[in-house]
Amino acid sequence: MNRFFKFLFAVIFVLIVMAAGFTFSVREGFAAVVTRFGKIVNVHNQSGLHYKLPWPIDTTVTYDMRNQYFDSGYAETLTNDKVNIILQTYIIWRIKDPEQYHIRVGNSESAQRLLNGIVADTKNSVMGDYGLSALVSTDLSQIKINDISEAIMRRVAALALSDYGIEVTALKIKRLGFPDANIASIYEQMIADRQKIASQYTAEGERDSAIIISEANAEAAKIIAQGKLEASEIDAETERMIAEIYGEAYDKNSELFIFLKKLIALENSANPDTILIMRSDESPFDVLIGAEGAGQLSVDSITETGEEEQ
Amino acid sequence: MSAKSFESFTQILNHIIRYFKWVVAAAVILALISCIYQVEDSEVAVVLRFGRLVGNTRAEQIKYPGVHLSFPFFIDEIIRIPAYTLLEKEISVHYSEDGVIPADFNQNGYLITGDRNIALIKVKVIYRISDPVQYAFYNCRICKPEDTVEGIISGELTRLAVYANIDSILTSGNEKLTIELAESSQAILDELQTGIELTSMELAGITTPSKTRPYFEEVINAFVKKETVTQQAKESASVILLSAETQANDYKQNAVHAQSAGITEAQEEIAEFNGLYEQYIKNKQIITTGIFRQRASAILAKMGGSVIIPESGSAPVIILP
Repeated sequence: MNRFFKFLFAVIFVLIVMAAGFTFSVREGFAAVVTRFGKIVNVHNQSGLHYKLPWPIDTTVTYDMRNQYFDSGYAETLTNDKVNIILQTYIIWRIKDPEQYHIRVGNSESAQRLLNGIVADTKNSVMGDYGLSALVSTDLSQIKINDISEAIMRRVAALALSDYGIEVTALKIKRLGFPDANIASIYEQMIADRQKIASQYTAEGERDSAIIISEANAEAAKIIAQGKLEASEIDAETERMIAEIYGEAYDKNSELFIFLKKLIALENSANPDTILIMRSDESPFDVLIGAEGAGQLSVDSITETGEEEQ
Repeated sequence: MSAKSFESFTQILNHIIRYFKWVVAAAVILALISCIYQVEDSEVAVVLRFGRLVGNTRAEQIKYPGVHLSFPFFIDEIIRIPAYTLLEKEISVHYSEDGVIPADFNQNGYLITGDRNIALIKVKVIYRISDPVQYAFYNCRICKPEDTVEGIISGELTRLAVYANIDSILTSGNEKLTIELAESSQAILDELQTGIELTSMELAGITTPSKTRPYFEEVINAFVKKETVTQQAKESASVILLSAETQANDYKQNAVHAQSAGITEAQEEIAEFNGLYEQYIKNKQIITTGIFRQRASAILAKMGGSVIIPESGSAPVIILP
C-alpha cells in the first residue's frame, strides 16, 4: 500500500510540476507575452490554456487588454484668436498590440503618461486651428467641439497605435475652463449682462404696459365712436320716424298742425325763470288801459309773442 | 550516501507520504466544495474555464440566481456581476459646493455656456448593468466602471453646454438639456459596449458662482416686476375697454330711449291733433280759441312772471307776478 501511495505521490507531484511549469492560462480580456531568455517568442491574444517551457526558460507577462480610462492634464491652450483656455479630455484606451506594448510601454502608468504627453501636444496643435467661438458659442453653426475632439483623437490614436500598440477607443473633451486670471473678468461680464437684462426687463415692462394701455385707449375710443355712430344712426332714424308721423298730420291740415306745434313749443320752453313781455294795447291787457275793442282776444298776437319768447 | 543516511531519508519520505494522503484528502474536499457555488438574488455570474468564457450564447454564458455546479477553483473562475442592483453616482465635476471657483482647476470645475457665462451643475445618475458579459469584460481589472460613466456624462454635459444659453440652463431649458445629456451619454456607452444602461438622470443644484448670484436674482425680480406691470396694464386695459363698452352702450341706449320717447311724444301730439282735427274742420275759430286758452293758461302757469309794456311811454309799466 505504501508503495502505491509513493507512486501516486510521485505521479501527482510530477503532474503538478509539469502543469505549473509547462502551461499557463490566459484570462478572457487578457493577452500573454511569452519571452524566452528575454526574447519574445510568442504572444497569446486568445483566452484559455496555453503551453510554454518552464521557468527560467520561458517567462509569461500578461496584459489586461480591456478598456482603461483616464483624464488628461488640463494645461492652458491658446486658440487661434489668442485666447487662453483650459481644456481637459478623457481618454479610453486599450492594448491593441501586446508585443509592441510590452517592448515600448510595459505598464498602465507609463501608457497613461505617454498618452498624456501626446494629447497635450496634439491639443495645442489642433486648437491653433480654431478660435474660441469653435468651442463656446450660442451659434450652433460655429461650434466645432466635436470636430476638435475628433481631430485630437485621430492624431493621438494614430501615434498611440504606431508607437505604443495602444488603441484609443474614445477621446473627448471633458471640461473647459478659463484661466484663473480671466475668471474675474468673466464675472464682470456676467454681472454686466445681468444688469443689462434687468434694465431691459424693466424697460420692456414699462413699454409693454404703455402699449397695452395705449392700445386699450385707442380701442376704447373706437368703441365709443362706434357707439356714438350707432346712437347717431338711431337718432337719425328717430328724426325720420317722427318726421313721418308729423308729416301725415301736416298733410292733413298744416294750419292746425303748425298752431299746435307752436303752442307745444311755447309750453316746452316756458319755465319759472321765463318772463313774458306783452304789449298793453294787445288783448287781453288792453282792458287795463280802456282801449277800444278791449276783451277781444287776439290769438295771432299771443302766438307771435310766444314765438318771440321761444 | 551511507546506509544510515538512506534510512533517515526513507523515514522522512514515509512521514511525508503519511501526511500527504491527508493533505490530498483535504484538497479534494476543498475542490469538491468549490464545485458548488451560489448566485445571489441581486447578481448574475459568468464562468471562466482556464480563463476562457464558458458558453457561446448569452443564455449559456450568464448564470442566474440559484445554486450552480462548476469545475474546481483552479479550473473555473466565477465572476459575479451585480446586474439587478441599481447603481447611483453623483457627478460633481462641474460643481462647486459653495459657489466659489478655486484657482486650482483640478479641484472642481464649472461649465462654460454658449453665451460665455459660468454655470455650476451637479448630475445625479442612476444606472444598471444591462449586459453583464459586456460589463464584466469592458473595463480593465483595476478600472472603475463609474469613472467611465462619470467621464462620459461630464464630457457630454460640457459639449451640450457650450452652445446653450445660461438663462435656458437655469430655467426650463434644463429639462431639454437633461434629456439630451441622457441620450447622448447612453449612445456613447452603447457604442463603447460598456453594458451599462442609464435609468434616470437629474441635473441638481443648477446655479451660478456666488459672486454673480445677486445679479441673477435681480434679473428674476425685474422679470417678475415686468410680468406684474404688464398684468396690471392688461387689467387696466380691460377696465378701460369695459368702461368704453359701457359708454358706447349708454349712447346707444340713450338714443333708443330718445327714439322711443320722441316717437311716443310725436304720436301723442298727433293723437291730440287727430282728436282736434274733426272739430277744427267744423268750427275753426272755437277750437283754435279753446286750444289757445287752454295752452296759454298752462304756459303762464309755468312762467315766473310777465311784463306788460304800454304801446307808448305815457302809460305805466305793469308787472304781474
